[in-house]
Amino acid sequence: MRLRIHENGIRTIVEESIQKSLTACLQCSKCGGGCAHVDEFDLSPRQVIEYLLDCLDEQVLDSRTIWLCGKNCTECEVICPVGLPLNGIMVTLREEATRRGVEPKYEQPSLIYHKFEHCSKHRREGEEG
Amino acid sequence: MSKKTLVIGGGIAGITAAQKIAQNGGDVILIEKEDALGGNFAKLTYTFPVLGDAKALVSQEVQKVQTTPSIEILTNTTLTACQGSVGDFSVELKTLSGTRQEIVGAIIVAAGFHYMEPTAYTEYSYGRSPKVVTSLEFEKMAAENRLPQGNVRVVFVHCVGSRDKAKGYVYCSKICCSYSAKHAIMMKKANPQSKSYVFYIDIRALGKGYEEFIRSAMEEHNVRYIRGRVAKVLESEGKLLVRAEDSLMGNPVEVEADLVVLASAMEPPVGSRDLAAMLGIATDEYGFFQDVESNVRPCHSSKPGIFLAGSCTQPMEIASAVAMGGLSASEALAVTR
Ligand SMILES: Cc1cc2nc3c(=O)[nH]c(=O)nc-3n(C[C@H](O)[C@H](O)[C@H](O)COP(=O)(O)OP(=O)(O)OC[C@H]3O[C@@H](n4cnc5c(N)ncnc54)[C@H](O)[C@@H]3O)c2cc1C
Ligand code: SF4
Ligand code: SF4
Ligand code: SF4
Repeated sequence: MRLRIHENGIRTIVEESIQKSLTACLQCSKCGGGCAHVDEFDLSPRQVIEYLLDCLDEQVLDSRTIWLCGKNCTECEVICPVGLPLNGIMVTLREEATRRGVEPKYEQPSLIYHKFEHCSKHRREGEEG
Repeated sequence: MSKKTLVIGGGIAGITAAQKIAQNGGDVILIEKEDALGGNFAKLTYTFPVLGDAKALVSQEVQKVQTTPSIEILTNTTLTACQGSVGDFSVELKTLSGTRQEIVGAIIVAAGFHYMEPTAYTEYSYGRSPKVVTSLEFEKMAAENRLPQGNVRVVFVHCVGSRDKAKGYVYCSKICCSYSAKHAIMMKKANPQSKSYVFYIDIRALGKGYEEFIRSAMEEHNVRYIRGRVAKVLESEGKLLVRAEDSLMGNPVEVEADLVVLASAMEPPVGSRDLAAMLGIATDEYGFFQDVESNVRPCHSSKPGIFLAGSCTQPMEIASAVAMGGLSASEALAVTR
């Protein structure tokens, strides 16, 4: 499938939320190499950034990755050579997806994330999982 | 006006500068803070892109300066003070036998580079596992015939400390792509049973024959190049596990290894800012010595009569250090004769 590249998309919202430009990304893929959840992802974190840069928003918002990225995980941010907060990016993307009525995709792992998002009773459990 | 030139640093850049000045009738005092000449070149085993014999090449050059009467070599010596201006600098040198005053007409700074200790890279197990070494340590292992034997896997990691705003330097160290290929080839030659992997971001082959050299690592020596910056090196039960994302597939990969070699950054020489302050010349944001104009005056420091040569200005290979040594020599001659 050929994708049409353009210039207007949720990239701006994401960049505002993290207060950094995605152009800082060195395209090195170190982030995905160390991620504990990457086996469950359909897009690697680096691919999420690449899609965002070219404003291919649907690919990102329809991905499983944005839902399966670990809660409060900083694993890739601490090793990223430019310190891009991938986790914060995913939070913004989930918010944006929800706003647009995209169904969350939690296929592979437990439903802990889902519970965590919707029920405070499971908050502790979610964090531990 | 003094006809002498002071050269600071006895690496290949300083040695070349001293030789060229002497060849053209000038007098030189060459100071080196260590007890021998040769600098980092003398720590290498082979050189890219033709696998030259490093020890033979450098000792030939060292010998030339040692046998030139118009070059006075002072090892274990540093500069402790500098006053005056072009044509008439009065300098104080601290040698093993005490301090010494000299008047020189020009000064060439050839203080070289320091190799970064990648201790901040805990994710690569550096300092924790003896099987994770730097490229400079790999050179030493090769010289001492200590490269791993038998059916082993060796992983070379690019851009450690370079191209890393968070824990190292923003700049690219320019030559680690080339010397990592050299190391992979050396590994294969020393142990044909071994298998080498190189993890890269982009391959930068910035010199004549470099691209061909790196291609030969892949095509003739069967070195596997994988695009993706290594994320982690884990050690368990005596083996190393290297994790990365193969970014051409967008998929995480891992490879078990017996040795991991980190191509660390070339950084400014230790004490470069102090030396610059003593000389009254500028350094850049990292501490490398700064030229006044990098296109046509790469050897001119910010002060007339003080010139720069070699890897104290930026990461560079031997050939460029030699070229800069020659250029700084002719600039020094122009103000001392
Ligand atoms: C692992 C590795 C592999 C490499 N392989 C290759 C290769 O295959 N081919 C290639 O072309 N290049 C290679 N290089 C690069 C090569 O080492 C450099 O290009 C070369 O050493 C630069 O020479 P230089 O004279 O500028 O600096 P240096 O070699 O660093 O010499 C500087 C000298 O100045 C002295 N000094 C420093 N400060 C002072 C002071 N204040 N007072 C007095 N003396 C001082 C130092 O002790 C040193 O002797 C490699 C580098 C590394 C790290
Ligand atoms: S580790 Fe950082 S710089 Fe490298 S690809 Fe990931 S986000 Fe970009
Ligand atoms: S923040 Fe998300 S992408 Fe980064 S390591 Fe954690 S789970 Fe993986
Ligand atoms: S020369 Fe190659 S390995 Fe070294 S910093 Fe530049 S890109 Fe990385």
